[in-house]
Amino acid sequence: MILNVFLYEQSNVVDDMVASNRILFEEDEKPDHVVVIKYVPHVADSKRAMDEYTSEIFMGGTNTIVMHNTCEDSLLATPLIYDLVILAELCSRITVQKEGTEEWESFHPVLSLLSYMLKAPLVPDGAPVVNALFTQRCAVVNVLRACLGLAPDNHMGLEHRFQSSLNDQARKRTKYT
Amino acid sequence: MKGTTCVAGSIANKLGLTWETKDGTQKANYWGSMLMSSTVKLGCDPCGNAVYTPMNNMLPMMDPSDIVYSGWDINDMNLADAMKRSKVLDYDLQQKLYPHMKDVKPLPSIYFPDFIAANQRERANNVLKGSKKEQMEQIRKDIRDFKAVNSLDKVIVLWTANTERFSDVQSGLNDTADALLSSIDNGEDEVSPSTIFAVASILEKCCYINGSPQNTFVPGVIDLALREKVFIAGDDFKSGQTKMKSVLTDFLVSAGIKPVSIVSYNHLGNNDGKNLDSAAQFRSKEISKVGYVSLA
Repeated sequence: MILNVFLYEQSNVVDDMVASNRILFEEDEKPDHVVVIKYVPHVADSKRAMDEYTSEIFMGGTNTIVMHNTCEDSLLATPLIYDLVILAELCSRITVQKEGTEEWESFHPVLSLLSYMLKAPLVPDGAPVVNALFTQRCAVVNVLRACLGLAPDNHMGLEHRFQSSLNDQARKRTKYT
Repeated sequence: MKGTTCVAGSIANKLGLTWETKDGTQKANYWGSMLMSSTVKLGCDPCGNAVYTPMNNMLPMMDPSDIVYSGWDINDMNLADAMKRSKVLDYDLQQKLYPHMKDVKPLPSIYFPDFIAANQRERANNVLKGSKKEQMEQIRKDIRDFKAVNSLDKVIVLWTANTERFSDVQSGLNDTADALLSSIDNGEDEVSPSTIFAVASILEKCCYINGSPQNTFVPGVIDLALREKVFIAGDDFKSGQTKMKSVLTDFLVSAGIKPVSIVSYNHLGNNDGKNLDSAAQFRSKEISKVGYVSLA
């Protein structure tokens, strides 16, 4: 069987990540990116995905990663439906007030905070598209933290990187146990 | 079928169902939901131990089991039989859910054959009649009735139906809210079913989420959402391959490694796959999975 193979010049799903690194990629340079989808009734909802990532590494070397993913499509997608709906509802109860203003403002109607669950995120006019998964998740977590009055998680972990802090914690552990 | 699985999952969790599989007893859960099944580090306790809390514990938020579900489908099959047909859930779980789902039937939906694959025609036995305007008014009425009958505070509408072909965006047709509304009044061919659902939802002040790849959100819909101050979000659930892609590419590029080619093959046999077997619908999917594309 001959697969229909398409060659694409642009690849938005990875664009933001590619564009973030001008050491690796020239302006307008992008990886080749091809997607093929075939209908095979026998596998029913059990979707098969095969991916090959070819990368250039140190000194012109080549790294090839091949993945095979088998999963019930609907069992991956359904939890996203819950998350989309619950997060959208939550967002409708969040308003912010800028310092020095009186007005409480809701999120922009194009609700890009839901991007984590979405393949091709719609964003407000003029806003950048973020596809990177952990960046998207971080945004959700930090908005929830802000609503609790907590600072965004910066992952510095200074409490575990200096001997004096580690000593403090050790003392407290002894005291509490 | 994702809609059916969504309702099934909610009922199974609400009732705390367990069922037998060849591997033993399985119980209902919400694994795969970031809000329901992942945790967030709040900080460290005085001893330096990380403190985690479930994400849904951070703020008051809905539980999927507390949500009242309803929906439209171009096929009239009750949700119990639709669950059997979709071959997603274990047999024993299907048996236990059957009585809870057999009386639930989807409301008649909008079917414009031109927008989805021809092979979907055989499914289309539950469709609204009348002009585009009349069909949109019926969807609006369905939303209002659902809200009133169940005494709901908010209704959110989410598209998890067939992938449609892309709609043309033309000046005066769907480029502004007013143009789009008058195109619906005039029954213009190029207004898709999903766009009518989006417009109906926005006019009812209900958030509309697009779980499929097509361009439901033509500029006129976005304009209308801004005007009515109603949330819209899309496009297309990021479930498997693209989720991996948005992790792996991030990892490679941020590790200082240069991805030079990314090639993805999929095969699937559900109704999604059947619909995508048609070129125009596949085109919507490839644009969502790949980005703006040009064929070489």
